[in-house]
Amino acid sequence: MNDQSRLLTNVKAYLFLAPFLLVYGLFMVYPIAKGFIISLHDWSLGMESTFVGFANYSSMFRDSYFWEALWNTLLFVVISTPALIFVGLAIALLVNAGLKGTTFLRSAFFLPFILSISVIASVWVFILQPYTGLLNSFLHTIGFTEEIFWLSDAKLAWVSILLATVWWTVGFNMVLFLAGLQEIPEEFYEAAEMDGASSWKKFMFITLPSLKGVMLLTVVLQTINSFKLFGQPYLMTGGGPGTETRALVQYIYEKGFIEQQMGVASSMSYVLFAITITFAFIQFKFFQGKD
Amino acid sequence: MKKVSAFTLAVFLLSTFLVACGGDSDSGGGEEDNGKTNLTFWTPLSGGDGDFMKELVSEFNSENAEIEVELLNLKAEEYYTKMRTSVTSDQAPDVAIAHTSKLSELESANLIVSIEDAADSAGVEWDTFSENIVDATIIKDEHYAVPLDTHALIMYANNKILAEADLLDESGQPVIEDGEEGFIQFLEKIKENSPSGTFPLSATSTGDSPLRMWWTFYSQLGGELLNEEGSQAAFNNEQGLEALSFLGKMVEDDLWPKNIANGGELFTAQKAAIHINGVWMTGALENNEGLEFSAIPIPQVFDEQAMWGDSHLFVVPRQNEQSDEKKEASIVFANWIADHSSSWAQAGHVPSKPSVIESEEFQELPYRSDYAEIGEDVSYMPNTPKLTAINDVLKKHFNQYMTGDVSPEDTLSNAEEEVNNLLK
Repeated sequence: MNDQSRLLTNVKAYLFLAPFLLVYGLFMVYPIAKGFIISLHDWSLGMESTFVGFANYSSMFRDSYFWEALWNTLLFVVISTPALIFVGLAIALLVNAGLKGTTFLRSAFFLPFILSISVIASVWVFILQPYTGLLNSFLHTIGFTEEIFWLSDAKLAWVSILLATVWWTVGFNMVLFLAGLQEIPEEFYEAAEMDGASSWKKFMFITLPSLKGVMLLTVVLQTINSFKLFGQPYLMTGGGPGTETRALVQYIYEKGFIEQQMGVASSMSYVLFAITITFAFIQFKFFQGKD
Repeated sequence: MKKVSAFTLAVFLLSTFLVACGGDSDSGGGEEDNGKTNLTFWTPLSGGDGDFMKELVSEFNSENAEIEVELLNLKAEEYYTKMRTSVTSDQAPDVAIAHTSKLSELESANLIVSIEDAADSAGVEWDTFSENIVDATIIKDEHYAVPLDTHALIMYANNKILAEADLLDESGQPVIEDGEEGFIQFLEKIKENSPSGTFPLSATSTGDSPLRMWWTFYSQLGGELLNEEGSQAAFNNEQGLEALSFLGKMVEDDLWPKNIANGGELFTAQKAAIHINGVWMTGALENNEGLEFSAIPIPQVFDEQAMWGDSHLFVVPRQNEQSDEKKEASIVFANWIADHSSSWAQAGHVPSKPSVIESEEFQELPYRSDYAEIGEDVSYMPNTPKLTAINDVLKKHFNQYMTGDVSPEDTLSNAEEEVNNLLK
């Protein structure tokens, strides 16, 4: 009887899980496995494929454009992740301070996040483009005559991409931090108040430690998102000037769908996958170690 | 009781889900009861192009008693990928629009079929098409497409700015002296005689535009992209350098200011005297009231007249069981559209058939007849399966050249090396 009812429970559980498992298997597990198989082949859609072992990987490692794109992506991750965490936390603290007009501020900061990347890119191109862009026109009216090429100079292009990314996605981090902040019991601050702690100390010894869980989540999500960089440079600079702002995902896309080298594209995807997983793993370890 | 109902619910949920996934596979096209041959037709057209094509298709459907065409317009960016996957999964349309620049790639990947026989039985007369346009669609001596138009790079001029610089003749056309010097002097004269902040030449400095302009002038010098076998780059030479340096000189002399993000916008806003772009700009520009412009072929700066161009074509994608009847109907449809393409020319394109160009309907359209002659001079990029990838390499290097960071010699030799790697 007992065994039987347990069996029944299990069967029921799996039946309820089945729709999810089916979709998950079909659209996550299967493509991941298939991607690895493709990466071992000379593969293009609609053509015969031949098994080539690890040849795609070795040709990828010899490709200087691969290294450039990987470097570009890493650079973006290293700069954008802290920037987005820091700004997100700062905005959350501001919004949480209970000033007037907070509801408006909160929506204003979150609004860009609901827009699609094409809208975001159009807005920023409109602002940053030379000769007629909003920013340069403004600079001209206040007497600055030199033309600044925000999107055509490699260094400035990166600054522009970073700026656009922060404006676009920081709202999401803000919401996460805000949720974390609101979970901190008021009593902690009251007790600290009685002990005469300064605001800085309250932030360092109450707020930050209490946010640890949220912080881990945000850092990991942000890192993964930054690795997936594609739309901003693709639409704002086209990866240019030359290939100076081309991220790895864009290169994967070009290899796979323009050059029709699915094998090489898959092997690059696997490298990106491995690096992202490693980073996420390290971050989990790092945060857990502090417990 | 509770357990039983939970179990039932679970089974119910699962089965609904599976049924939903199974879908309805009988909804495909094919011959239906109306006795007509039904064709599915895919296009990658945006904006005005899409609307004009829609009108033409419904006109065809109402006139033709035997063929019914169903139009599906797809996003241009994913069009060729969709085409590939549709052929792979045997769900390809019966007829589709493609570009000359993609034809070889489609053919070599087995995505389209030869239309040699179907064109014969459909009664297509190839000599009713402009020879230059048709020649670019022949692969290994077989016809693979019915051309609809050519869309080439042309020159737009702001008549007001040119009139002030005294550069218009009595008929209101720009006066440009021959040769490289003549063209540069023309731009210099605009610069001297127009208010500050006016761009003598505004062509977009990134994306496709530098490549298309280089190809225009390189073709005027008689250059070839690849060697005869198509196995190696053949553009890193004197002519390639001359054409590229010509672009560089205009930038250096500030006649074509650096890093223009959207040349068309500057021209529309009347901030630029000359704009170089594809014929498709005509439709957009004539909607601007107060903008007086002329549209003419790019002047012959070097040895022979030529300019970059591409064409919209009708192709027949590969299907596993392809009836000759449908193939023939597709070609009949394609040929009919080509015959009636003067309304398609409203989008700016030059029709593929001289008879359409000579028709009253076309001649009545403003601007178009001023550049209709380009059909004879368009220089297509060569038919090679790797053309898209080669163009991407060239674009990348030329865009960097336009920022002024690289010498023209290095630009060409770097591009040559990468193109050769692609062709290996």
